Amino acid sequence: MFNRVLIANRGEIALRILRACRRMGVSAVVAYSEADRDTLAVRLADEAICVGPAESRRSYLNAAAILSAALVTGCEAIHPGYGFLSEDDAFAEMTRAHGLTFIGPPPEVLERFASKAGTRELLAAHGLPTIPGSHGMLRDDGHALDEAERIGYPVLIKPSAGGGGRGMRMVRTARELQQALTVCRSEARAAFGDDSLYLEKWLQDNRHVEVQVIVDRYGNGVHVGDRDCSVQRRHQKIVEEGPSPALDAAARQALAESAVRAVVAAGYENLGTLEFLVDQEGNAYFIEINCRIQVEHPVTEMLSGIDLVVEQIRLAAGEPLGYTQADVQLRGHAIELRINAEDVRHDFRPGAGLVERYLTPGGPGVRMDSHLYAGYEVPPFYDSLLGKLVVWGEDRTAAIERAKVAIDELVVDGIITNIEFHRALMDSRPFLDGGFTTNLIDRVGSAAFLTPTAS
Amino acid sequence: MAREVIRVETTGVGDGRAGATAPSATLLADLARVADEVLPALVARLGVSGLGEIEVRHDGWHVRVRRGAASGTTSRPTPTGSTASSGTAAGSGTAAHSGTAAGSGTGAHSVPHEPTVSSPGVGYVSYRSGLAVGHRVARGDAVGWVDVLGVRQEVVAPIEGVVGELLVAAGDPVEFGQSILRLLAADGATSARASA
Repeated sequence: MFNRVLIANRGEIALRILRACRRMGVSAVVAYSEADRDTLAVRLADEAICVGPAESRRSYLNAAAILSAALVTGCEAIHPGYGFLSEDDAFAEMTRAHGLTFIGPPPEVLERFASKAGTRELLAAHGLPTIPGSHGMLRDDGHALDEAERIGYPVLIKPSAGGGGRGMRMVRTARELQQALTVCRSEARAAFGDDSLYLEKWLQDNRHVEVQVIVDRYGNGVHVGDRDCSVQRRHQKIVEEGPSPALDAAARQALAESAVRAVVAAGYENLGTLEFLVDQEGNAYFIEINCRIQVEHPVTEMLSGIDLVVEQIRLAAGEPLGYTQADVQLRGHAIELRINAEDVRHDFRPGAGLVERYLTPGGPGVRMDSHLYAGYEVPPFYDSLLGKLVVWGEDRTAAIERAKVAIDELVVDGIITNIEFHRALMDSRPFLDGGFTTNLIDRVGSAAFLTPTAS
Repeated sequence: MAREVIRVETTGVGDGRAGATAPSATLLADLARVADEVLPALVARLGVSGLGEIEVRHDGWHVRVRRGAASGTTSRPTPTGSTASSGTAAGSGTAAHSGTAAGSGTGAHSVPHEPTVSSPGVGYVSYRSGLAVGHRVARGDAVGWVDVLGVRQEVVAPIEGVVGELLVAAGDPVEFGQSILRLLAADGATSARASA
């Protein structure tokens, strides 16, 4: 096991990783930007080191600064968290070249799974169903039009790199496709430095269901059930739950088993999440794999009792998995609410500023992962995630009831948040029915949930 | 400091950089060249010249670089395009001053309060050979460097002055923005904050 780990991230996930290190008796150094000097992880860390200015390109995305920080502080491994450098195979390779361990899949595995289109082909060959899509990357507009014609409109334009909805567009006609290609290319280039695009058949009213897997380097793998992330706005998740209300027990087991079988066969390693779209008939289509710890990992932790970050560190250090599928017991239902600094009434515009008061909910089955404290100033430079409120109940109804109580206890004063929106969602008919689809909020608008008539 | 303004016509630029390209280039190419070549060159020149402002006119455009009014003795280029931390910029004409922008951080517009030169990166500090307390350095002198994965990022004196104190032992690690040395202003009356 490592003696010392560099945490190359910020916000709630830096704190989460710090807690995992503490539990394992591993010393942790937090790398931070000048804008994050006052964040909780920096305050609680064994050591903290400033790696650059606020601009993430020069701090959290600056591979040389992060590696140098790990070396000068005597770390043996780097935990990249999510986002930033977490799925960058070149960074993982540099990390290894400097004699350090990247906590995640090894570089060659990241590289193998770096292309979404390539991964779909690879895992389709290992038995996962995939959405009809373009063969490979789009070479030019003519190729795109031909492929869209073959797949059938509407189609979704997707960038090969990255995520978070940037560079993505749904188009219904050839004319729309031609117009959107230019925009998507420039968005993808700006966000990920790579403007390769591909097409997928657009599935109307689908759900987003994902399977968590844990695989060691010796070919042992388990799944830790599924999560449903259908409550989204602009392709960004805001509520996640597990198990998914979209699947019955047989379909759930089949999906999870096929997922872990495919990734083990394809040589995957460490923690991973396989994302699927599930259509109205219950057909699941594999869309991509996330080679990192995910924001919504606590849902799975609440159901399984497994500390996923500890598992990630352990496996990166070369330890064997040490248990089998039969040892993984999932119990009850869990819901995660992403508490964001954003104005729900104004197009989810992000906010920032001083947190004047911060009171967290408690009680059985309630967990709050957040880097906030009263007096903390939320910087405007990064994403709007303030924290995650996670609840557990013996069944879905109990979990929703607990979520409502917890939301009512949560106080974040001084900055705008989406807390009120979460409370409304927990009372909304689509959520109570377990019938949320990924496009619902964008289609009907957030206001529909904030007025009593919608529920 | 007396505010001295010079206007540099392109034909009169000493290093020839601003006037070297034919004027037939497209507007975009012109803008790119101004951003990539002319501005860094002017900023570097301003930093070592002691001037308050430099202006270049060429064809339809002109560029003026002015020392920030609030900072008094410290050059404060506002562009953030150049970076000292990638390593590739080290050793080029702009490397010294990309560090200036980086070190300014959130206090960019505040009155100088900390009479130190801060680190442009995360790594190990070295000082220029023979540098010691009491030595006089000129504005723009490299007083040392920070070794970031084997790439040197220069630590540059932003003002003329006298080395007051070395705050980090040579060979010791530093973080980004950490104070490396104290520099007394040349007249000895005041210390000046410097982010090199």
